[in-house]
Amino acid sequence: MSCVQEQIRVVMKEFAKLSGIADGIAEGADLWEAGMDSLTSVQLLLRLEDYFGVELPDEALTRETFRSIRAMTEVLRTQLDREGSHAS
Amino acid sequence: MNQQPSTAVAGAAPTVWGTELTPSADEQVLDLLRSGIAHRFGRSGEEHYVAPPVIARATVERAGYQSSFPQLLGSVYAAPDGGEQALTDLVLPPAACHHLYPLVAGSTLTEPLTLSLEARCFRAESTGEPGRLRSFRMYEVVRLGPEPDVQAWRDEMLEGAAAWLTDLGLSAETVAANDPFFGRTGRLMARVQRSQQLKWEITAEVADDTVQAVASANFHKEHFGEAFEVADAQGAPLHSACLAFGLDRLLLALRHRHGSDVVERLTRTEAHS
Repeated sequence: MSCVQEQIRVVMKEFAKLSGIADGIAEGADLWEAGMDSLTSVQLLLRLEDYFGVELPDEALTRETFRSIRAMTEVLRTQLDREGSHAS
Repeated sequence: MNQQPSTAVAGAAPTVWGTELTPSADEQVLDLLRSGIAHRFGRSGEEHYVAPPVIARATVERAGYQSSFPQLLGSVYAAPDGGEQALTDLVLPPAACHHLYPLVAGSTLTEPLTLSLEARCFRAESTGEPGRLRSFRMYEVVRLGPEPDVQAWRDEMLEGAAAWLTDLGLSAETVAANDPFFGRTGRLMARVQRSQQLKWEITAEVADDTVQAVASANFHKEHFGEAFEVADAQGAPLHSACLAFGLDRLLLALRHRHGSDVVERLTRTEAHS
């Protein structure tokens, strides 16, 4: 399991609708079917950006980005590489 | 934005854009629309209300409107005790249904509930093309209940509304839509809403080359059920949906399509329903 992915799971635990599944859900499982909603996705976006010290580009602000832990991991990794950030 | 006010006084115009006076001939059309909507979509309703042009700020905040659409919300300033004018506990309703949720807040519903109302709404729009009023009337039918019931109701209402507006001679195209959420996070909210097909609009031409939504059917999921603590017997937040008609836009679209024959067209359609 990647470091970024583990950190996403830690952040997910802060949200009521995701805390129960954060540890156990498969990385490719559909989060929208498991409790994610639009408001939570916005809150998670802001928290992840704060946590990783990045700002996701406009094209990443979609439902697909928050579909799974794997999708979030890919988007965040791409942005971390792009911004040259070393947030661990 | 009425293009053909049959009783217009020569040179009459609103003193500020996006606010319109309604001449009596148009009010007659609106009355026909009201009865058409009530007959078709409000039959199962427990009650129909007419709302005042103001609403408690706390209600709109509880509905989450102020955080998602701060750019559109208008506030009432006053100085009831004298001195400097300041924000009051009232705002201008941005949507009709906000008036209804406090009526059922904190309650348990064992059966689906349908209520309807007409409200004078305000949105601080930034553009004033035909049909984009800042002060407008919205006729809304709201359903609260378990998810499958509410979703099926929304779909049925959407289909019925599109069929009715088609019968009235409008192009009545049904399109997936999103609310105008504010800012960067709003773009995510809007895209999620659109991809989940939570909001559908029925559009019609309101002026040459100008198409606007004249009705919408929205599935709110448990958003308002959670915010206003409306629950089922097991304590789970209920889902809600609404069917909303923009009465002023509908009038504009009908005038654009039928000119002075609107009353005859409406009367004929209602007689055959």
